[in-house]
Amino acid sequence: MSIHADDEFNLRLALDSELDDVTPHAGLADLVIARYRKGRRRRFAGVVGLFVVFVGIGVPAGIASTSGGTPDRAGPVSLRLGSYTLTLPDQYHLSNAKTAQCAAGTPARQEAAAVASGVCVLMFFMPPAAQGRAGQDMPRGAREVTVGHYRAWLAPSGYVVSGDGTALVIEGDGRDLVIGASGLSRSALVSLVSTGLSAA
Amino acid sequence: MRRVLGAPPSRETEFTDFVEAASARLLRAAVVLLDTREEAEDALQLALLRTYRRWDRARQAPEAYSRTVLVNVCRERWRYRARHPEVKGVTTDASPQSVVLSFTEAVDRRHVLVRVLRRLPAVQREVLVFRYMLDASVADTAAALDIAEGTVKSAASRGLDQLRILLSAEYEDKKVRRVHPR
Repeated sequence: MSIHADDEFNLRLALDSELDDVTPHAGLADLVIARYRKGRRRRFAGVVGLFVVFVGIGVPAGIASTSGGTPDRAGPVSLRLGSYTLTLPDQYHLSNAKTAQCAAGTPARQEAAAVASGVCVLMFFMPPAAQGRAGQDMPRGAREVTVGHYRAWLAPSGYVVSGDGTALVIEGDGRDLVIGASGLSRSALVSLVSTGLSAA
Repeated sequence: MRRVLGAPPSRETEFTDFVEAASARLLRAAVVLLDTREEAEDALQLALLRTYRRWDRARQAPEAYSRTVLVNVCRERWRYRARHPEVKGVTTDASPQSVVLSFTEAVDRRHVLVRVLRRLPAVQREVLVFRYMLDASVADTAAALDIAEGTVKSAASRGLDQLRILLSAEYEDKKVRRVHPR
């Protein structure tokens, strides 16, 4: 089988004459360039969107890891606030108090937090239950407990810490120290604070 | 596109010049490779868009690059149509709607040679389009279609033979219709 020169020539000629009315639209190049730019703008917007999402996730995570020290560090963790120090077992690591899960809804400015798997412990100061009269009034439903040599009470649920958190209030002069926790029972919190809390 | 004298041509200017020079040839090739003019125009636009995206690489040999992209776009459409037979471009049933042809479809039907070329097997059709419409060499055709040069030669030969047979049949059929109008 061979290709005849005539066939090739005739085919080329016939196709040329048959399709001579097939011409592209004027301004095809401009149309393609405009379509390219539109696609590029979309891709750019997508990349910016992804960047924002990563920053939104990465920055809080970065702050949490830098302010919280190294999670795999050996030795106990100390949560300090004012003159108080709460020493926690090894499995805890410091966390950003603003983003800690148990800190949601707390109004305090000074906070410190630590987390372990499924547990979050938070310390902050709060004005006394009755202004200017520390230790005079406990809210209804509170239960008075003795924590080391401190006078304290367990706050009723939802009083200080939102959700199912537990809060222990240590009465002080002018301001109360609140130690809130989520993922811990009341007795476990009292035990944790009894063994770990000290004041300078 | 206007060009400042003395300044090197910009990416857009180069691309515009290339499109003006080559788009008619590419569109005609797409018309043969696909079923309708609309599909061919879509495919050409997509092929040019992909070429422009990679213009830094394509500018060395833009026509060779764009015809390879074009044949890939056409193959994507064939594959899509094979997977979705319900969205075929031209309906083949005898419903009243199929009798009404668009202007471009009517023009397509006037192209006897194109219609016959479309009936050839895909490889033969691609090879004939590359060799005799896009003026690609055997080596370029083989590279663009990702087949051996020997396959290009044999497909071209068989395609021309087949074309001759189909065209003869087409003209015989017309003669019969003229003698015995239905």
